[in-house]
Amino acid sequence: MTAFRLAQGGRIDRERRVAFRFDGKTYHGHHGDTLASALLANGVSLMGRSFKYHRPRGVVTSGSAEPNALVTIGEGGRREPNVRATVVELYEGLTAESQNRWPSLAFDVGAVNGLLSPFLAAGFYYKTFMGPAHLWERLYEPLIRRAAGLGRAGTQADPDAYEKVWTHCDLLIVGAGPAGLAAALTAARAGADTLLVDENFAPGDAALDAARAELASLPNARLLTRTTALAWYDDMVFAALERVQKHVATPDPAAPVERLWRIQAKRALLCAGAEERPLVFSGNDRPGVMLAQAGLDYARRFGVAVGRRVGLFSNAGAGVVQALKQSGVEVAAVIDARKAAIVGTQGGLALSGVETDDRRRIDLDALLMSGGFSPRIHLACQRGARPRWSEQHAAFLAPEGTLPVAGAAAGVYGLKAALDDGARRAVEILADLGRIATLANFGPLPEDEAPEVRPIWRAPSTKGKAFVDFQNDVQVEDLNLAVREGYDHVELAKRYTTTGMATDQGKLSNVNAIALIADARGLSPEQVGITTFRPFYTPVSFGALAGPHRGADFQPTRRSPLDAWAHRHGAVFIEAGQWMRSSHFPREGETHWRETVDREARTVRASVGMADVSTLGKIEVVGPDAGAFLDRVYANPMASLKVGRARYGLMLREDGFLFDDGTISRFAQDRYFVTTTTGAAVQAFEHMEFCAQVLWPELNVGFASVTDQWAQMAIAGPRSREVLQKLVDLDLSNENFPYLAVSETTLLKSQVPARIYRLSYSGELAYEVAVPAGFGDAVAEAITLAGAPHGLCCYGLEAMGVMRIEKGHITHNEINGTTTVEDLGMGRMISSKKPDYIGRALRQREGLLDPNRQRLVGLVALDVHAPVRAGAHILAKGATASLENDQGHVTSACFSPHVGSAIALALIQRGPDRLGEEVLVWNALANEFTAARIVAPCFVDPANERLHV
Amino acid sequence: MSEIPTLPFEAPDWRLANKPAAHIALALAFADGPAPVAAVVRNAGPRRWLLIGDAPFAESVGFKLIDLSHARERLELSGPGAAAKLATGTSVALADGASAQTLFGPLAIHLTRTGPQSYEILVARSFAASLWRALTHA
Repeated sequence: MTAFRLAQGGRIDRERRVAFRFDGKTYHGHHGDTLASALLANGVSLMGRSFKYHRPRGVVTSGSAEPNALVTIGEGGRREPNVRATVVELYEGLTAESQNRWPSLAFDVGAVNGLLSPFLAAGFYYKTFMGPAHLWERLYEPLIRRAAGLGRAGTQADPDAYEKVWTHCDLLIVGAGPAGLAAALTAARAGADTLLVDENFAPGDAALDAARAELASLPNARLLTRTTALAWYDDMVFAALERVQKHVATPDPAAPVERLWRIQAKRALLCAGAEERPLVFSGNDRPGVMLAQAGLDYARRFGVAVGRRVGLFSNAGAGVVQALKQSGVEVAAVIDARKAAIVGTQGGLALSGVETDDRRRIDLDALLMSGGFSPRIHLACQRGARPRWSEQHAAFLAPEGTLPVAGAAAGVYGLKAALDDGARRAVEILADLGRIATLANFGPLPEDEAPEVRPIWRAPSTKGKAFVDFQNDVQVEDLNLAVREGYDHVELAKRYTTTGMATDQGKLSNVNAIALIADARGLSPEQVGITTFRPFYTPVSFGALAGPHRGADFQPTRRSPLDAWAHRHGAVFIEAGQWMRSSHFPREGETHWRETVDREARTVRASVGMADVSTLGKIEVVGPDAGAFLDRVYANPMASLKVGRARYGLMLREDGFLFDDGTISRFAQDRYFVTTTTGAAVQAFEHMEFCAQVLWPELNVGFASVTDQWAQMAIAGPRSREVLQKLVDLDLSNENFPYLAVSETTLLKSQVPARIYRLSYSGELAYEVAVPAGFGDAVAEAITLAGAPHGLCCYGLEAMGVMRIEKGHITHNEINGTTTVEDLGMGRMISSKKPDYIGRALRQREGLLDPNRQRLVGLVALDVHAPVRAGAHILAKGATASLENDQGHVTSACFSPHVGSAIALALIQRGPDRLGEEVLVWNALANEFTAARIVAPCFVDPANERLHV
Repeated sequence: MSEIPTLPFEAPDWRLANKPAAHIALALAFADGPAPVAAVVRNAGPRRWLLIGDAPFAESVGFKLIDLSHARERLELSGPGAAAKLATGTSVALADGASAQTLFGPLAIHLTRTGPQSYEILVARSFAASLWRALTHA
């Protein structure tokens, strides 16, 4: 092919010359070119290699359906593979390289696959890689993975910004061709908030410049170019991708390079046009063979003649020939597909001629083909609507009852017809929205040429390969093979042959493939049906989907009101879900975190410590039925809880398993305060919302998350009362304020309102103090200061974990979704008197009461230096290390400074019946075995005397 | 950063400012009826309102109150570009005076359109710094 730039014509800026590089060589194009049109203008026809056989390929289309001309654009963090040269706008300094070839595009060693093609037919790897199984992991999978894909992704961080944005409109119109433009003008003139999107940078016909100018002048109309409507979702939400700065050499860092629009539209109209279908004949993939509309586009939009001797192979075409000639392209031959056929093409890396079925050879350097049109109905069918086959159009159309469709997308062809159709559909839609619109008039226009719709699915194949799907190298014979081998359903044939599975998702190939399958099965295309349309319409970058949520902004960070206090006292922080929590507070001289944690735990048990527990989920429950509500949500009784008292609570799932635990305090007859675990706070709150709104709407109860309202501190240790009494305006003596008492009071001589809870997680005498969050920092500092003479230390999540394991308190390591309250040894807490609560019926299932279930116990390592790790498995003493002998696992483990060795909580078969037994803790990951003894899951003060002093 | 800045953030066509602390309470009703009376009353869902004022609220007949004064930060986003800025994270388009419990990106917010070009955003205190960053760094 020797394409060249025409002396005139096109909508490029001939004054602005643009230099770019392709495979290391510098070329020049013009502003307004695409990479593909600029390469063609430079006489470059070879632009890519196909996936399987590495066949040399040239450009087939001028738009987003391009299967062949895929290149890698940019360098470093901006490197982007598999970009369609037909949609890349040329800019100064653009660098592009070809893909799937080695060592070069013109000489590709991988092309040897073409010689092996008899062995690489459809489904070859299901047959080739069947066995032996052990070769899968080491040989087959790495081989297949290496072969997969065309371009290679970059490895550097993308330096550019991406944005997501929402917008609203009365009418969304997809496609700014004649139909879309007419609809937009009709709607905008009627005052509707109109949004018109188009994937091109210069959409539409030059004949409609006046209409575009009027639309641009209307304040209630917006035209987004370079914007592809990708998807239609429920509730009239659409996704569209705007390429904001993909056409500039250096993006402005203040703006995104791509913007993902989420459009909430009252109504939408699909005017996406139609895709021309290739013809299936031998040698139809030679560079220089392309779609007729592409040839026209290159001439009219870009001023490029795709060859010096251009042939047309089509079932229609008088109009195309005339238009080409008007643009200055010489048409050397017209092969009417209704009367003749091409049976082969000649040329190496570029077309030099074709052979017809009457054995004529015609010298051509470009061949335009047209097998009819397939309306672009993707968006209308993405939500499950099945396209209907229209014999009249020889195409699939969108069914009634889905998105309205106008113009070529509805099978209405021709400029005048499309304008009329677009305007007419807009009037109908606006009437539905209660607006009166009048048809936009575009003045006198020439009558449209009557379209020829009789389809030609394939030419008689005499020799060589006839391709249906270009990128994936699917040939007619592959489809026949799929049918012969029983994969004749359209969805199976697609997957067996990979037709329609390339980056273009079968935009060019699907309908031809369906017709060929229909032919092989003796059915009509209607009976074969079409594969499912799914979002997205064209590929979307991960950057656009991630938007601003990457790196440090991947998810929001939650900060405790005591964050500054913890920082001042030298805390090391740890991510716990979204929270940043203080893990431990190292002091000078401490060289290892364990040293710090041991010291913190010892200090609390010996004197006093203070920890931030603000992250606990906190819910205030109010209303006359608050008690009744909590009685049903929790398995243990709550309505009977006295005002001024707290109780430990267990929340079950409907299926009887434990869901979450926490404390419930009652501050008034109709006011409770509930805590949940930090990790399950959101789920527990949502569960309560569901119960209140769906299960028992008749209960007069309301609640709100007050997690953020309160800064909450745990002050624990035998000296905690002495410290706290200095600040709290309430008698904290055991008589006045016993274990599980709660009170609303004040601190610092009535300066700060507070709630005091006598609760203990550590097993020591302990209090939790809550103050409104804004006072948190000052109060925490005051307590730290007041405690200093008593040896108070700050302690973090790690020491808290050590002390709760020493006490056998559970967390979500134990509440893991497979455990019941019986498994965790808390069955007696559950009320047998309450008529009902969530989980009551199903927790009594036989399987859940089986005494052989794994139940919670403690473990002590026999060797004081031996480690025990969470996740390790339990074997009976002397048993072989195998999964058959697995008796349970360690849920939580730590070194206990109190016991002096590693301790753990574990779920073990019949565990509580085996106290004193020696078992083996097997950490299979490190092949580590530790002998341990099963003990009761409490290592400190088993009689709980310290709680009541 | 755990606290939000006290000084406003000025962009070319919008501005983000931290509003002074106020008394904020959630008012709940258990039957349909009129909204409670307070200096500022924001709709927060069926039978739910957010009250904002300079002094603590007294519980009145028919409503239960939950104090959220320290649980929320109050931000003001204003300027000709405020609506577009907000649309980068929020799906709702509010009429003047309307409120919605919604999201900015992944963050829960209570949003009120307080004027043609101004919005009040209530956000959980622990997420306030993240919201500030999301609005000013994007």
